[in-house]
Amino acid sequence: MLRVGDVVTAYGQLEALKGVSVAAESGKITCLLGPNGAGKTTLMMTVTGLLKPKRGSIAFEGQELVGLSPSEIVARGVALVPENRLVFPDMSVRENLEAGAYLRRKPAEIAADLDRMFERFPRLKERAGQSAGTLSGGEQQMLAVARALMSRPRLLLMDEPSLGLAPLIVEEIFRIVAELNRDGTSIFLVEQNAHMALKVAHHFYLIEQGRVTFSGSPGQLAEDEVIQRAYLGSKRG
Amino acid sequence: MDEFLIGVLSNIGLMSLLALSAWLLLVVGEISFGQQAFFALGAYAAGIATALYGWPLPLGLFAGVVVGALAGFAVAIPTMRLTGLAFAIATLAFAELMRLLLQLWVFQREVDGERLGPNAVEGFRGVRWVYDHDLSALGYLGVIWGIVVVVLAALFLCERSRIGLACRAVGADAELAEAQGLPAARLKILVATVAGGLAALGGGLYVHLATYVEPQHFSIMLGVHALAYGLIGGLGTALGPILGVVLDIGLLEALQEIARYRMIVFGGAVAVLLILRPRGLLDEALVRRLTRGKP
Amino acid sequence: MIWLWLMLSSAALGQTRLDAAIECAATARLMVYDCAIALADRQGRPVDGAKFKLGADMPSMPMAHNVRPVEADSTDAPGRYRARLELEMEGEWALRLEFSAPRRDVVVKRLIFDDKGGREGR
Ligand SMILES: Nc1ncnc2c1ncn2[C@@H]1O[C@H](COP(=O)(O)OP(=O)(O)OP(=O)(O)O)[C@@H](O)[C@H]1O
Ligand SMILES: [Mg+2]
Repeated sequence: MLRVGDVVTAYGQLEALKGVSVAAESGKITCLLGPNGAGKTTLMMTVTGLLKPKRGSIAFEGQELVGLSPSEIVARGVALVPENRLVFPDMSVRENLEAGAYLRRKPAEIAADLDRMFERFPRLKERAGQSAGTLSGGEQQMLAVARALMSRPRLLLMDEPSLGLAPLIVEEIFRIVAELNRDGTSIFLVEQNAHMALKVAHHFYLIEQGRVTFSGSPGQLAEDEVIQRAYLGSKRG
Repeated sequence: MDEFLIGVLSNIGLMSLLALSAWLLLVVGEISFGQQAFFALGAYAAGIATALYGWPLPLGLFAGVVVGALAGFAVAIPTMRLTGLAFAIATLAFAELMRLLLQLWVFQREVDGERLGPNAVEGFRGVRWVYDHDLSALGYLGVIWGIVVVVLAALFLCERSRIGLACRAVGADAELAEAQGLPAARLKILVATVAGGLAALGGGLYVHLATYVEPQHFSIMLGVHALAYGLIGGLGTALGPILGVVLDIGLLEALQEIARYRMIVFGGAVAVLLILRPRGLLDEALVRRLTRGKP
Repeated sequence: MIWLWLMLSSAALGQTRLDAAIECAATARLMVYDCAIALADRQGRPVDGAKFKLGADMPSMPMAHNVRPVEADSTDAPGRYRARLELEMEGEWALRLEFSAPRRDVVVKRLIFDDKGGREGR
């Protein structure tokens, strides 16, 4: 479904991705694990067109994404739940969701999806008219996921959805991830929480200092080692 | 109606158009100190059209709007990638450059035995369409507010549309908006173009009321006020900047005793307000509460 | 024939277009000025019987300073009028003569005001 081939992305002189090749299969959950600064966010931003790669190709369902604008990429069915900056704080929860459906043109379908989101995330329904900035961290993460889903993506990219959340909330998030996947959305998940990620992933990659250092299914590598490398990186560990 | 009152209300209407122009950019998250430049362009263009070439007022105003919108578009292209302070300074630099150019610009024609047109620092005198067509002060007040109401109605419609929602999203967090597929840069350019045209509309109406303008009119003072009105009145609705104008010009004018200390009162009020209500009196949350239940 | 008509009509307009010279003197009351206005037509002949109000606007902050316009009174001297104007502050003001007679028109003059009075500047 998504094929990233030998991508190099740089911030000025610094190459954050030094030739990364990963793939996400249709209907599956693919995980990318790695320590801080490994280049995970950089890869997500490159795939969604927010950063331009210096080299390499990114194919989604056979179509090249490199060179397209972020809105063209969203229109093709790729949506991102970004790291950290999650919601539009002064807009209501409902408006946040509507913003996620910006590229869609059929109001009736959008309204139906809005109802579906409120069904799946009842806490968002209770807070529909409230400023999104007043939500708790976990609720904001839910809202960010729901908003990304409002564009009806076939591939959902999630950048560290468990970041800074309490264990109970993290479990809820991963339950939702598994549910979404069961309902047919392919997921490409960036995580540092290797323990949770390995439970849901069909396939996973390790990325360290801008290079993929492992590719395989959970179980192919001892969880201890994955955790070690995902948190600290093998070269330092 | 009392002549003085007509004058004050006319000025409130004109200033509202400029304040709305600055407010539009605030909505997409950009602070412009330079909307007075588009006001100036509108004033000069519309004035030249009616006074030098004998165009009817509506056509002159339209010419001003076109010039202002084109300028807004042209300035937005290079500046839209800038944010925060960099954008604010770029807009200010543009406005000051415009003012300096107007101080040098001489473009005069003989009309009915009189030399009319922009004359550098001496200004542009003799824009007398309203007087030559015997439009009363009250009549012109009606023209101004008719236009303000139409503009407000159009903005209300936009606010409820998906473009309006997208603009707010871009204003809240342009990068996040872009990541969600909103064309942030294009929306900003669109808004800057509309804002340029809107300021120019105010300028065109202004020059026909005042009958003269000079470059000094369009200094940073004017731009800062226009911006402050939106910040005071609130970013949640197009009525915000209007409220700001009414509070400053209207209320302080009504209390003539403190008019002399106006700048101090105004500056202090802005500072206190921005601490207490960072997004103005009519902010998004209040507007939501006030309109709850309505579609 | 048309040429003659054009000349006549512009001459007629030239007569009604007014020119004003203004000088203001400070009074005992703060910010209140006594203004003497001399009206002349384009040929420099004094104009009597004009009716106009004197208003003021600050070029440095247009639209924000609204001064209540005052009616000007005629005096015994030919083409000479007087008005008592109250301003908000010292500095540069654009005085605005709004005529209702001999015809509706506006003349704008820039003056600089200080504690002694106001003089035409620039
Ligand atoms: N805007 C930027 N300008 C310059 N360098 C950057 C920028 N963003 C990231 N980097 C650098 O690029 C490298 C990869 O950063 P990236 O954010 O992709 O890491 P990450 O794997 O997402 O880390 P984390 O787990 O902390 O989110 C880091 O060395 C980082 O310092
Ligand atoms: Mg990251």
